[in-house]
Amino acid sequence: MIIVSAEREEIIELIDTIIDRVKDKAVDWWWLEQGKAPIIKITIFEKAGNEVTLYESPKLSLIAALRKIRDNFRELDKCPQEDKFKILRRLYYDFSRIQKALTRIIEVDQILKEHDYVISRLSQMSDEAESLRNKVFSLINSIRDSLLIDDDNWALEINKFIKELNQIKKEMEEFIIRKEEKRLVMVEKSKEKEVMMEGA
Amino acid sequence: MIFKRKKKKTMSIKDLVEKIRAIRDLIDMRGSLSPSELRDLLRSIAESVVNLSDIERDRLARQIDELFDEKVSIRKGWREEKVRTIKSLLKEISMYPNKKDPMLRPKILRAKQLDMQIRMDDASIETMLQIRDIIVDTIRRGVEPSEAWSSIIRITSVMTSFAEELNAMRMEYEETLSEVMPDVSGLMETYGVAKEEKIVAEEKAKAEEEEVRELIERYGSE
Repeated sequence: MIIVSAEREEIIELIDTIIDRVKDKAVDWWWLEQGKAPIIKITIFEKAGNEVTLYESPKLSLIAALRKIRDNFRELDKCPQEDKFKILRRLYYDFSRIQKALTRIIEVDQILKEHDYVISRLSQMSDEAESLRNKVFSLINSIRDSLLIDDDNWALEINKFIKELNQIKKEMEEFIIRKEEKRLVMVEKSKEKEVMMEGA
Repeated sequence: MIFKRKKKKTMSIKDLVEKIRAIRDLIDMRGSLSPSELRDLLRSIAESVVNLSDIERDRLARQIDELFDEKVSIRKGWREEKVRTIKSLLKEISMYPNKKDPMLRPKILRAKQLDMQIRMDDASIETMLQIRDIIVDTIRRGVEPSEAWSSIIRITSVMTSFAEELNAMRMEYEETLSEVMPDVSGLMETYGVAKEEKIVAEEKAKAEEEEVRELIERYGSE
């Protein structure tokens, strides 16, 4: 027997704990639709008689993927012995991909938290800042799509992400300064006008 | 004699605790609870505890306090989670570059639903706390039924405001839901089959933006 029942129960329990923790953390992942954004494809297996068919799911959210893996573990015993190894290998592969995605999500979330001032400020700014919001939005979309790329490319991607966020921060500050300068000029002009009116 | 005095109904402590637990659960589930039901309960509490010693009354009061505390802390925990979710959702909404994006509508609706649920939680928590105070006070003081009438007046006002608040929220909630029409015109708009007039769309977007702004003012964003 590849995996004994007690071990399987232990794994299921562990996945349940991970689901609970992810659920708790995911509430704050605003850039990932509170963890509900579909990001990962996993293996689904179907049993018809003695035949087991493995196929790839559509993209699922992290929690949905973890639940599916947990259910796969539960169903494992019902599969023929010769298929169990194949399924287990796929489950291991899926699980390691989830772990990879989770680590990277936490990394991105940390970076976004460090730039929270920029994000909050941009979200409160008027329509004039729409182009900057657009930049953040497409940046977030691109990092969401890159969560499962290989390690070397991830390092490049995350550096690019930080760099561009810093660039947006710089642009936002310039934007604020420009706006403030404009406001001061207007104040100055209205003061001059008042003085002229008084003189007249 | 026109008014007949109600027969005294004393309950065992166990029954009393169970009855209070049932009332607590009813408030928690936002069930319909009449002030007269609570008045009767309060009267039977007063009649049942009047002969207990100070120590026995204090022990019972602590038991009731814990009973409510347990539910209130669970409800507060749920409330906190909803507040975190709405903050995160509002941040997501406010960062959307295109405010007319059809993907945004369900998110706005979800934020409104969460806001309603949070306010309902607040009302339940507040009512539970007030009723706990009144019950615990009645038990601790071991008041005579006649003295319990002041508490009865208080409880009636608490329940009336709770019922009024829930009713107002229900109406507001139904109004919110009625905005999501089950016909296909919404779907046609979503998939670009029918074009909505530009002005209507702009006004709609503006009104929605205003609502989101109000929610951000209330909760802040994550």
